[in-house]
Amino acid sequence: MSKIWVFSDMASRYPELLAAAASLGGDVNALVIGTDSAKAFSYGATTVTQLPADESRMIEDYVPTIAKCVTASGTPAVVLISATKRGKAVAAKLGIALNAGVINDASSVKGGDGVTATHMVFGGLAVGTETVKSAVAVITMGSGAFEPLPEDAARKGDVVTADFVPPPVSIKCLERRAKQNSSSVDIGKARRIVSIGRGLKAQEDLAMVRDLASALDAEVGCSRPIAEGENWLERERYVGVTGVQVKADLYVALGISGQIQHMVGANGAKTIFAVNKDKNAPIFQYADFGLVGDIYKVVPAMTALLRK
Amino acid sequence: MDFKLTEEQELLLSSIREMITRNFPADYFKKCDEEYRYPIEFMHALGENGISMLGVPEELGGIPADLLTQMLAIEEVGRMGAPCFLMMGAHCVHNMIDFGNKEQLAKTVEAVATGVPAYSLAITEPQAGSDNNMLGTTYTRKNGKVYLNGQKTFISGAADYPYMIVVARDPDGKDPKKCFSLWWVDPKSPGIRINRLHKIGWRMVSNCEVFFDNVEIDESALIGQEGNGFVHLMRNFEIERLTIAAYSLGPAECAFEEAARYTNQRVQFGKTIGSYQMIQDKLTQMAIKIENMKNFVYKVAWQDDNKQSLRLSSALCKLYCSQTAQEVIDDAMQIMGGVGYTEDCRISRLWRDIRVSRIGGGTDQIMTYIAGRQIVKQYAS
Amino acid sequence: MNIVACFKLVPEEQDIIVNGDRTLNLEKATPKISLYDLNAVEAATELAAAMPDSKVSALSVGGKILENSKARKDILSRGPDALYAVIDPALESALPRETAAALAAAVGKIGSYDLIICGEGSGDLYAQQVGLLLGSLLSVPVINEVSKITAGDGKVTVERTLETEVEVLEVPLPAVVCVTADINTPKIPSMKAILAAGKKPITVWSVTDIGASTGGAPVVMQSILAPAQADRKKVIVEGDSDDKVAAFVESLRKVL
Ligand SMILES: Cc1cc2nc3c(=O)[nH]c(=O)nc-3n(C[C@H](O)[C@H](O)[C@H](O)COP(=O)(O)OP(=O)(O)OC[C@H]3O[C@@H](n4cnc5c(N)ncnc54)[C@H](O)[C@@H]3O)c2cc1C
Ligand SMILES: Cc1cc2nc3c(=O)[nH]c(=O)nc-3n(C[C@H](O)[C@H](O)[C@H](O)COP(=O)(O)OP(=O)(O)OC[C@H]3O[C@@H](n4cnc5c(N)ncnc54)[C@H](O)[C@@H]3O)c2cc1C
Repeated sequence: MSKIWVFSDMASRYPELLAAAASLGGDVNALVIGTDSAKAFSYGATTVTQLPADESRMIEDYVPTIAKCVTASGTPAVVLISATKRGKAVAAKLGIALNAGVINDASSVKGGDGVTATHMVFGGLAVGTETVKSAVAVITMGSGAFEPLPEDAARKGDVVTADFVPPPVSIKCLERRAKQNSSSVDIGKARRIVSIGRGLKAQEDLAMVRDLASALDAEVGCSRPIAEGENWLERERYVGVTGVQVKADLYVALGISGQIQHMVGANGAKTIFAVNKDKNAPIFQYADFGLVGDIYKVVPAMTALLRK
Repeated sequence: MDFKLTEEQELLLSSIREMITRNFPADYFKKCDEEYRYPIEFMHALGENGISMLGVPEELGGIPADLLTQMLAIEEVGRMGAPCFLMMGAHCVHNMIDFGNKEQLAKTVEAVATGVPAYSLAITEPQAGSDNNMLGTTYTRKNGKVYLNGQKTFISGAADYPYMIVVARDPDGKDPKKCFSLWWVDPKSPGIRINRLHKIGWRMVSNCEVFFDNVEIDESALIGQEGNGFVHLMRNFEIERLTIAAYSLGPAECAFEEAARYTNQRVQFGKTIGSYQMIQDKLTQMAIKIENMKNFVYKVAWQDDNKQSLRLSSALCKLYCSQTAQEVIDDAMQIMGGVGYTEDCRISRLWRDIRVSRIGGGTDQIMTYIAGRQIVKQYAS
Repeated sequence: MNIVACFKLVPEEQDIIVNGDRTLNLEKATPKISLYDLNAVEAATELAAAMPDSKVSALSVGGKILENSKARKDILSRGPDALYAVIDPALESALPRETAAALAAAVGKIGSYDLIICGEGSGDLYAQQVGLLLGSLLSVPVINEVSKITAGDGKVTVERTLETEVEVLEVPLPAVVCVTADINTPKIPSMKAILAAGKKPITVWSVTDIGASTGGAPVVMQSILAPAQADRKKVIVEGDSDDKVAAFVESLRKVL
């Protein structure tokens, strides 16, 4: 039976990771920076290994410490990490430190003869299924792949503390600041999403999109160019293979052409509505309901009708 | 015979595609066309990328390329739906290499490097179109200065380009073959009045009437040898004819591809229109015409690259391509149905723009005249 | 500064055909430079332009696809001074670990370097780890998500854009950085650069030449399959007249 470890640089990601770990069977050891173990136990950890907190350190500096914990308790072992940007750095570094195979952005993970995980390849055109053959497997889990277990504050377990092992080469962090134009919105969890693409002509026109979203009680999402080229919306809001993969009940795509890279993020939605002025836009191949028309005319009209 | 493009040519073309796709969507040209605006950003991009300097010698900061490669570049710009008919920078430079002085060449290169043709070429006058022996604009001398008087018309870019070359007559000249000279003029000089004409196409560039009222210039504004105006322009007319053929080819391909895609999408009577043989027949004929145009343009370019005469072939090529491109684009519009006639569909713009290929740079009839005489002569004995 | 920019040639996505059994047919797909690697190459050339006496080497390891001479000219037209390619059947469809090991060996063979720049992930597998693995294998500082690089004396200062934070990091050289897709807008190669590309030096090695070992891959790819398409209703109305919009909103109400 493999030893299962979980680690995340974002506290909010532990519940899903623990659920993924539980699905692999066996004991689950949560690596946590600091001394708060209760949360990890309540979501299914059987052991919590506390790593000494120190604001001056970078998350990546904990790699040798984690590697030491994993090595000490033997193989086979699986380390599940949240597929955040830091998480991926930690995963790759662990890959070398533990001579382990690494898979990023897994949308599913299975045990057995080696750990098998799936993740999107060719810009979402296909799904790759890979199996880790090495004694230790390091997998970063995409958000939303697993439903957290029900929280149970009564669950307890063993607490272990680990000594910090300094990394051989270190990078100096000169400054850390909050990202501008960033939000804590998680549209991966939103039930309804109104998503806007390059059909939008100016940033001010977002007001019209927000109006519709509020009439529908939905979050605002977008295609990548709106977040990354134009910077009109936060990165967290763009949907697609390199963005968020949604699980909403309703996805309303406005002025989005429906390229595969976008659609693999949107396809998880139960029902897709689309408005596009080009009747040949690929989005209509992926939509349940489509309207060929100008968003500047249709969106305000929709909002008005919904508010009636 | 090797029809394969070189890797460099393929990369050049893909760079052109990348530039237009990334920075100049169809909407940009639609807007310029609607606003009668010279697409200066696009022209600058052609300069920045070096496309406007293709074929200009390296010593002048240009990029060595044979005429075939230059024609391929024009074709690709046109195929992407962009106004390839504005690409005449290298042509401007070649004229000045052939018969301009150092200073005129330097000014030309400076402008062309930014993507903008350096000068408009003012030949046509109200009474002298096809028959340019009738040109009446004169140059006269007084107190060491030269004065231009008269009127030009239809001059492309007169309101957009930094300089103008004016063909003018020596009123005292006896021999009509020796009385025309070329003059380098700043279109903002006192005595010049420019009036835009209203056209159904080519809206992204001005075509103007230009009035010369005692416009004073220096002797140094003479281009080439006095009295040799038309001799100078002659050889480059042949290249210009080939260039106009390439201006026709690219847009025809653009329209063809757009229409062919549409036949897969448009459903009438329960089937895509592409499944109907009458539409397939159109597409097939269009495809043949495009192949023919390509082969013709490439062959004539190859002839020049191999130092063969273009006298006959360039006239035939211009005549064939300008007529045929018009047919192809017209068929593309037919396939699109009503949509093709709207301004939302760029085929309507190509349709308006292509027509002038049969008029400017020598009409169909004049091409026939040039070619026909040569053919008859070839078989004289 | 001596900069190495790593890149991968991948099949053009537009040309990939999904077979009836959901496998992918890549036969018709022409090789192209992986999109995000263009950011790495651009970052390298911009950095080199800002530092006197710099040199940029483009480096790629892989299979036969790297023999494509047009693709070689393509990469060289984008700024690098020289190209190094490790071509070996053993590297055909190599996964990240083998790729990183070969890159590390190739970098050793190239000789000295100050900075290695990789893209955030390749257009085909998008595994997002080769650069990180490479840095760890070379035992030099390595960091991902770099969105700005400023060269200093014996170090670079980088900005690292994370989900909600930006870190400003001082990275001692030599080092490896993985850049984000929005660190720059790769320049479109100019006509001049394209024509000059064919004259730049190209070095080709095999796995044996660089002394890399390729055995013992820790991960194996089992399958690559297109996802089954979700069944959609595809009720499309043409036109945005009031009654059409009203009908559309009615359908919308039904799922609320
Ligand atoms: C490796 C890779 C990864 C990528 N990852 C992602 C990703 O994760 N997410 C993502 O979104 N993209 C991603 N992309 C980009 C993707 O390929 C597309 O370029 C992008 O999704 C297009 O965004 P869009 O639909 O908003 O813009 P466009 O494709 O330009 O479409 C705009 C649409 O708006 C319509 N329109 C315009 N005006 C109006 C109007 N007034 N009324 C109605 N309709 C109008 C047009 O008809 C058009 O269909 C990725 C690309 C690559 C290569
Ligand atoms: C958009 C546009 C751009 C132009 N740009 C320029 C420019 O930049 N510089 C410039 O100098 N000029 C320019 N011109 C002018 C162009 O070169 C002339 O329009 C062209 O040479 C024809 O002259 P014309 O219009 O006077 O017609 P005409 O010569 O009057 O011809 C009228 C008709 O008679 C026919 N015809 C004439 N002679 C004969 C003959 N011998 N046998 C049989 N048929 C004959 C013609 O083919 C035509 O069908 C431009 C014209 C247009 C429309």
